[in-house]
Amino acid sequence: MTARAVYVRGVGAVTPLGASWQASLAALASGKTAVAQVTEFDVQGFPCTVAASVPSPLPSCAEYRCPTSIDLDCAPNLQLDRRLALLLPAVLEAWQAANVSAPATRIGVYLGAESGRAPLQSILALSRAAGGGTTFDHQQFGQRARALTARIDASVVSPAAVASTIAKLFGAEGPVQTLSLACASGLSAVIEGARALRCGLVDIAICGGVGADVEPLMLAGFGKLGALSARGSSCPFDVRRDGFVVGEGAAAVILAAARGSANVEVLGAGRSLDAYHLTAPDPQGLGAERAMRAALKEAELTHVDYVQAHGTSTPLNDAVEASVLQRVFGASAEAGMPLVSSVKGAVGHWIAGAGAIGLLCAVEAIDTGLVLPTAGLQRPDPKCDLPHVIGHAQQHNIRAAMVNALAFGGANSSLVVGRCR
Amino acid sequence: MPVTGGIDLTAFSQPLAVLSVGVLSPLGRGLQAQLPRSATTSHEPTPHEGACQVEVTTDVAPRGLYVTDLEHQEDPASARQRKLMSRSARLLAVALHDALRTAELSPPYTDYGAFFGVGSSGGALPDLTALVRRSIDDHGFSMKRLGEAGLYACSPLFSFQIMNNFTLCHSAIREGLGGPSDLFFSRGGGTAQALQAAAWSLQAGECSLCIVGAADTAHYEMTDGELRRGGVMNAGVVPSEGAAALTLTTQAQATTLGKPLALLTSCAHFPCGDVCTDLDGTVLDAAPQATIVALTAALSKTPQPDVLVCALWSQALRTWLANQQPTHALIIDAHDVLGEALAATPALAWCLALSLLDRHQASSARVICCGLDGAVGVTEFQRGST
Repeated sequence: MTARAVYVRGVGAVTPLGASWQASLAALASGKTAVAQVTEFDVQGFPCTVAASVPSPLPSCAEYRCPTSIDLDCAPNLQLDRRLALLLPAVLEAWQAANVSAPATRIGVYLGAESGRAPLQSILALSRAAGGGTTFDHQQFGQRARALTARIDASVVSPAAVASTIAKLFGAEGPVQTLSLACASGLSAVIEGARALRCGLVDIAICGGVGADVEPLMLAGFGKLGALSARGSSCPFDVRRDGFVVGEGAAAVILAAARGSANVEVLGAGRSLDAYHLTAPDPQGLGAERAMRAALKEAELTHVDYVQAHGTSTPLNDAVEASVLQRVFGASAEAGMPLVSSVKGAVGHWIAGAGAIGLLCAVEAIDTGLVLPTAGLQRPDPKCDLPHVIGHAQQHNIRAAMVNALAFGGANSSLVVGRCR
Repeated sequence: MPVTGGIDLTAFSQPLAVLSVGVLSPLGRGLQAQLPRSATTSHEPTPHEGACQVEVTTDVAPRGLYVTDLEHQEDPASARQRKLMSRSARLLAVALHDALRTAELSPPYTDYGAFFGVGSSGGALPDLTALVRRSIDDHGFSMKRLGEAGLYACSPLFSFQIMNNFTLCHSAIREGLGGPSDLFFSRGGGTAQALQAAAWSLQAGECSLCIVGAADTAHYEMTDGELRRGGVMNAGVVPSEGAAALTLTTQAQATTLGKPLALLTSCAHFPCGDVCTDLDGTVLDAAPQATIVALTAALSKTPQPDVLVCALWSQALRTWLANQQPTHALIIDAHDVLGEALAATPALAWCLALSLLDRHQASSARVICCGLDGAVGVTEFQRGST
């Protein structure tokens, strides 16, 4: 196989703490959290009543000096699809920072996304059309629901709609991939983009992930699953942690085969399956360990200076991830354990976008030395004994960093990035 | 027709070995069931012969192909596991288990990868109905009622079921697959990308063996609604379903695992613009130019295979294909045989080709797919070395 270097040329994000990555950084560095009471809809009786929402109105593309080559008329679903509304400004920020060009067929799009949501009123109408009883009445649904399905726009609910719209807007005629791997979607998309670059399939890869799950069905569903914080706090690795907090946002990264002015490159990736449980991680973390070790192996490293952990703030995930990190990096006593933090304390858990925002934190650490803290972490759990970054951001000389994404269903992704060799 | 810079049909420098296949389609279970006799005589396949064609009287599903008796198919899943599975997940569970069993591979499968094309994995509609029903008060839908009562009426896995990896993770857990994994949302094209990703993973040494394929059903209520809204059903598309899983490894590894069923010699994927989101009645009348360019390149590639399996979703594309008067010895219209199974269609088409190779009715096969996502996938197989 051709093994080309893969450079990080630009990053962008829309987070609950800022309308761009640059605008989010100060708040993230100060240890601020965006977790707050949900006000977008009534959450009385919900097991968890907080989330990390991107404030309305969403950022306008005009703020990013949308290039004339990008015709927003190609995105009629921009106003309907929150995933796209979050992701587009993030991609624009990354694209402008990247300053890259290539023939259209050499530009690919690799995005992590899950299904969008139909409006709740449409779901209600469909449900009523199906009888609204204790069972789903296919006969009634067939007779009465045909017209109602028109209310659900495919471009709003299809997982692939986001990537295909981004491809249209940016004139990308190379591969367009939508990775749907739950919480590992965003990072897996970056890994696929990097792989396509290494293989010479594309010269530029628009990568990233988006999560837009601060909505009733997901809050209710995850709440019922017992995965959300009843305390209403996202505090990864803290003794008080009791579940994750749903967040929303988008993160994008432009990868390229040409270095340009890049300081950071993708060094290695690893993926695995837990093969253990639908919703719980393997308590031994063997799958996560395989992914981390595979990423280090491909990067030809035994150590990194910083880990942007998956760190969801659930009791089990954080303890398992911490124990795996201790196993993977503890042996290299001379180098010492890497610094560890999780951005989910600040912006919640973006599900399909989680790994992508984690990657931006890692890139920032290498690029500027700014190691972001784990917001909400005050009393580290002894079971999660790691060199945490607590309170405020710290400045360090970070040469290489690892990003983890450990998904529901047991899919694990780890990515190692480093200073350009 | 000029070939654009994005079209590369180069064969692998080292073909990969297909050790076994697990497949469940409206034609039946297993590779031997996949080829209706009429299709082997070619150019005039009888539509849907051998498949279970169910006439449904409601407006929603006037016609379609179904996997029958899915609930009675034997595999190691417990009753509880089956209850938690979506229909796509259940289809895949059977196919994936058969693929591993047929290859006579012994566990553990810790370093086996899993790369699949999957469709929409929605929550069970009865769950949604129950959730909504319990959330209605005197004034209509109440968010407060949803929090207090509605959410307790549905499966605890409801939110998780909405995620598309739900299709695979049951099988991965039950079979103990622990290697690299990627799931590509697919309306056809994503499945070719899954095969490419599996091939790269093997070639890069990321894993020793991959399970690759797809599972999907066009009969899921929300998908059905989406297809109707797009005008797909009005264009003569027969909704279908199925799952297929291939065990894939390097030839070097295959020598220790037995004789391969076939060799995978190339796999290409060409995005040709998204037709799915633009679908309306007029789109169906014309094939996008980029698609035609890719199909032309795929048809004309030399050397020509013994058999050509085509799975082109629209009547416009199938008419275009017929007008090209391809001269391949044997042409099978997979769409005629199997209907439109969305993400699963390319993988089921691979199985049609592999079935012919397995029966020694062909030495080489090319599978050309164009799904609702507009992407063209081209895959080539050769009969395994003896």
